Amino acid sequence: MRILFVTLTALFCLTAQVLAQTAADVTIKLHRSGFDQYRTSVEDFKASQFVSSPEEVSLALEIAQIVRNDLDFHIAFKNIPMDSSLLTILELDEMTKLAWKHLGAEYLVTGEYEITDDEISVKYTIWDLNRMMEVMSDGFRTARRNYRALAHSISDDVIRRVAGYAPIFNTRIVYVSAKTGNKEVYVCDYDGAESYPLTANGSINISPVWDAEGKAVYYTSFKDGTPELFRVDLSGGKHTKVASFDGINSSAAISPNNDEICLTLTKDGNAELYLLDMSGKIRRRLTRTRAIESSPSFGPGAQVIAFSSDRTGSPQVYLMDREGLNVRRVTYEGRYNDSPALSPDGTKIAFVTRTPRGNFDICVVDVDGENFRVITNTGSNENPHWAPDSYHLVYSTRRGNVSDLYISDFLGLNKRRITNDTKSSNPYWGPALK
Amino acid sequence: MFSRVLAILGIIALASILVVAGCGKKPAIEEKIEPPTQPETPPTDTITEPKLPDEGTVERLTEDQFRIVYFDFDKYNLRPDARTALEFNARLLKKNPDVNVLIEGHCDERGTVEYNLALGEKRAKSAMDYIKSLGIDASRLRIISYGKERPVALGHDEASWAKNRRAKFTITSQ
Repeated sequence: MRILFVTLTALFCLTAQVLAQTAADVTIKLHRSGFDQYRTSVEDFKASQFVSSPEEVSLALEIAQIVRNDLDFHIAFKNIPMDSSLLTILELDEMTKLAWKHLGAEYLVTGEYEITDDEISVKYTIWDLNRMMEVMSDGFRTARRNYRALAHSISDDVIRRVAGYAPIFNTRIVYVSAKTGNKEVYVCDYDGAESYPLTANGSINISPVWDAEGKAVYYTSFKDGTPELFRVDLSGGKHTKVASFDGINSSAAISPNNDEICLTLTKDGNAELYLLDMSGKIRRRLTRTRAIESSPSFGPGAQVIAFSSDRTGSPQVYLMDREGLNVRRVTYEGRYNDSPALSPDGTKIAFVTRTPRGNFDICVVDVDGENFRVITNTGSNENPHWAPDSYHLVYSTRRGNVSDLYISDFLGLNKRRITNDTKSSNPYWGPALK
Repeated sequence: MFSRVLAILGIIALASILVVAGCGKKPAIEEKIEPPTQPETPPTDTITEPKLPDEGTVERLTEDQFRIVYFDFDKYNLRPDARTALEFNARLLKKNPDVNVLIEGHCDERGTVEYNLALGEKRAKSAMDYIKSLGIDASRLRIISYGKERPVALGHDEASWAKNRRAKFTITSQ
């Protein structure tokens, strides 16, 4: 990945608005110079049967549209849409590979579908339009209700086979919504679809995180009076209390090996970070200050942990190793930097910064402090967390009374709102399922 | 003679409670006293109890008699007005030795859920520590943080935020 280097000092000296603007200008250059964008088109899938019901036709159209949306969201892909005027100009009845190429597409996805009462199957082919040859051909069959997952699987194949990117489209996000009047934990697909509640206890439920396998969610709940850590298994929906020390049990992070929990506890009089085993037993205390230590985030192999501490008088982002040693400060600019999230590949940290105008923006910086970028510029933004590919993020944005979740690439160029209940916050992007 | 002293003491106690009640934001009369606990014919043995003054029933301490303690943004140290409020609350607790309280720490909406949860606890603890230093037994005090989860003012401006950065006393038993 070739990334244009940005002079940090120049950015820091500017006022907030200019800063946001400059960041946008810079990131556009980064995007053009750093990422080859694969220009891809997805043709409507054709029925392999003679007869399709209107419902089946619209389902097939929707699947192709989901693939287009997936690819268009990805940092390295751009969807080239159909332009029907071209058909008239070229005097064609339907699109051909040459016509797609004429529109500017480099790759094309075509497919055939077959739908029964219970099942749906799609055979699809990825074409390289420059070489006019097939890249790959495969098929998926699934229960009809799982058509979105089928579409995401096709998208994952495209980004993997065309450009070698890790799959992200069959991932899920946990978050908190207060749409019932109480803060409850919900789960949805990465694109916001298929949302459903994981808790319905009428209490306050916050800070949900996935385990490393995407099979369970840990969250802090006041349901028994004080903030304690719980785990809910996605299959079966059983809730188990994991940590209930005196005071606060919050801000959990699960190690990438799925064998340790890093947690903020206040049982010793002040918010400190501890390492716990998966049953909630303390293995080690990691910090020892009079300040608030919170928001831990594991790096690859759990060798490094990012966290926030207000030991200098206001929150700043730090790194330490898993023994709690080698503590080093990452953020120096700005009085208030919190909520760090290490990318799964360990190269970048996303965090929240309080701007001079008093808003909160999402920033991304390389772990060595280089390539500082502000990726949001409106509203109050919180809780950035990485997709498993380390190129995309989820966070929440509040404007006035409206708070919803957004996904974006790490350059902040391509943002999508994925909830619209106006009361969503606290998102966490889950791992790719194996 | 002895009974006269008792009577005078009783009047003083009653008067001071009334003064204290008068200082609260709402008059204590507004608090509903559960009359159904008293049967139609009062049993005689309650009358022979030494606690003759009706302060226990009439002047039952209510939550909103406690003053709310306010804080600056991202701070948990006690401002002069916070100390005044806590000194008032400590006097209330001294006068009502059977009352135990939970001190809730709260924050405004700015900053993360996680940081504010910890900050709220620090605010509650600051309040508790000061109350303890004024001679209230630690066993009567508990704290909890709700972070930014339970705002009282729902606006997104300093006026609302200032109301939400608070430590609030709630009665757990009396």
